Amino acid sequence: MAHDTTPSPAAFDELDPHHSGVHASHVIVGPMQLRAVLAVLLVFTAMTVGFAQAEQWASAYFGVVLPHWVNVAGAMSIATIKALLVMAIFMQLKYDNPVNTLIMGVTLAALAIFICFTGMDLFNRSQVYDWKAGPIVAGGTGGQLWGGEGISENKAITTPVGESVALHARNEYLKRLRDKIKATHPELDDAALEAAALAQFEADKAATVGHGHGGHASHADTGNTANRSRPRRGLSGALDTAATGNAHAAPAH
Amino acid sequence: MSTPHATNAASPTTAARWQRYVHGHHWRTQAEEFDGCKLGFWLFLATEVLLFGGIFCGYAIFRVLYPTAWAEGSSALDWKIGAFNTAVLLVSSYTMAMSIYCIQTNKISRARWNLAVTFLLGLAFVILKLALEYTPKWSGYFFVLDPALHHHESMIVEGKTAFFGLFQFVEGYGGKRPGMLFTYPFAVDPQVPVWWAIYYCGTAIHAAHVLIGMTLIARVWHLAGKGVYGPTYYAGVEITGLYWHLVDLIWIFLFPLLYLIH
Repeated sequence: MAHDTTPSPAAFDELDPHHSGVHASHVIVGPMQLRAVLAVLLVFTAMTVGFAQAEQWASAYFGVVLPHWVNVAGAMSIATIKALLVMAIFMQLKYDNPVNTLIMGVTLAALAIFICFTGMDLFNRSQVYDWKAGPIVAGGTGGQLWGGEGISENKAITTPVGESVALHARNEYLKRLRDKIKATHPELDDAALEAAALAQFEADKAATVGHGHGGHASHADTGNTANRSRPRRGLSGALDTAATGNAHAAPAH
Repeated sequence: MSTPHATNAASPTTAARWQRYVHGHHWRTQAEEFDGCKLGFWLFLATEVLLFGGIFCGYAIFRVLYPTAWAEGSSALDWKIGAFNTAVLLVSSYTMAMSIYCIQTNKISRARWNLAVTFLLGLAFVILKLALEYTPKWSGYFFVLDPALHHHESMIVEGKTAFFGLFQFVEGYGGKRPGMLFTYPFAVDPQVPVWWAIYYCGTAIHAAHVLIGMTLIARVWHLAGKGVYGPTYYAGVEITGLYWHLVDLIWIFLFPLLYLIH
């Protein structure tokens, strides 16, 4: 129709040149659509939890250990889908002025750049450490092969007296145990007292850590039997009072 | 001064407050005002994403440097509380969106009910976080009805309670605190205080956002009761909704990063 393509001058409102009117940007998202999105979000939450549980279960009972990136990629993909749904429907970006989507897109791109550059640095630290440590030359004690403070990867948080906070916490607990045992058994000599405190420490540790919350790796760590053993993963054992094995191999279980 | 562009201004004596709303004189239409309002708020939300982005970057850095500390710290969290709280926030996002739908269709009473439910779900989230997560991990005091308490029966210190007997002390559980405040005796990895620093940073800043969101929801609930919002004017509810959904959005990422990935 003619007047659709060429509106008459009378129909032109200079205060509203694009005929946006009062309601133009008010999109109504109905209850059924909102409920559907909620249902999908809850299902995806169940899926991500189920995925993590299934992975632990496979690892604990069948020894099937999926590569670590599978766990991360699975959980993060599901989270991303959930986030996109919330932004598109609940936050109405799908129906909104595209400028708002552009703002979020640019923000997320900036965030991706931060994380990418952080990752590039992190995954190349070993080269940087090697380079900073300089060439290995004959002589010296070899005690400072990594160059010194500031570039050591495992510099622990320390108390003002230079002790690891975690080690300090452990020693304070042992001190309290020794005091408690001494109060009830004053006849013990220092060696017996120390042994009793350490034994109590291990028993308390098994009672506290052993049950866990059904948290991650809590079952996988109990894989040691008479016929097979699982080596400690990446832990120095520096804070462990037991010579070998892990906390779950302790008695009281 | 006349306002020729106040197209929806009805008779001041009979109309509700939303019907009498007149947009700012520097806007051509109310729709433009609404769009501008949302544009500004999306810019604010961008800064919020970047705020949490810093925390996510910190998480990534320390996770790569101290993977064993991350595995140990993560195993101390109960995924059941995390998953339940995720569901709580997702449902609250739905009720928030429903309240906007109700106002758009002039069902103000239903909108206020939805706002009230959203507020209560936010409150439930914060209470669960404080009573079942922060308090026991920080201090060793368990809420007496906490289902996790029976795991630690052998370590309960009889008679050592707090807050009118509602919290029971468990020896050797507390002290999972950030950095220098760390006093948990059974740590295996010396870097685990770093994990707790990231955990408390991420979740406490998020919980602060939940509390701010609840304040905003209480405000629009109150104003909706006075007839301020209706089908043609509801910018306040819309903006509160956007803020609340962002809180949900951040938790959607915090939950798997802290509770599920190991």
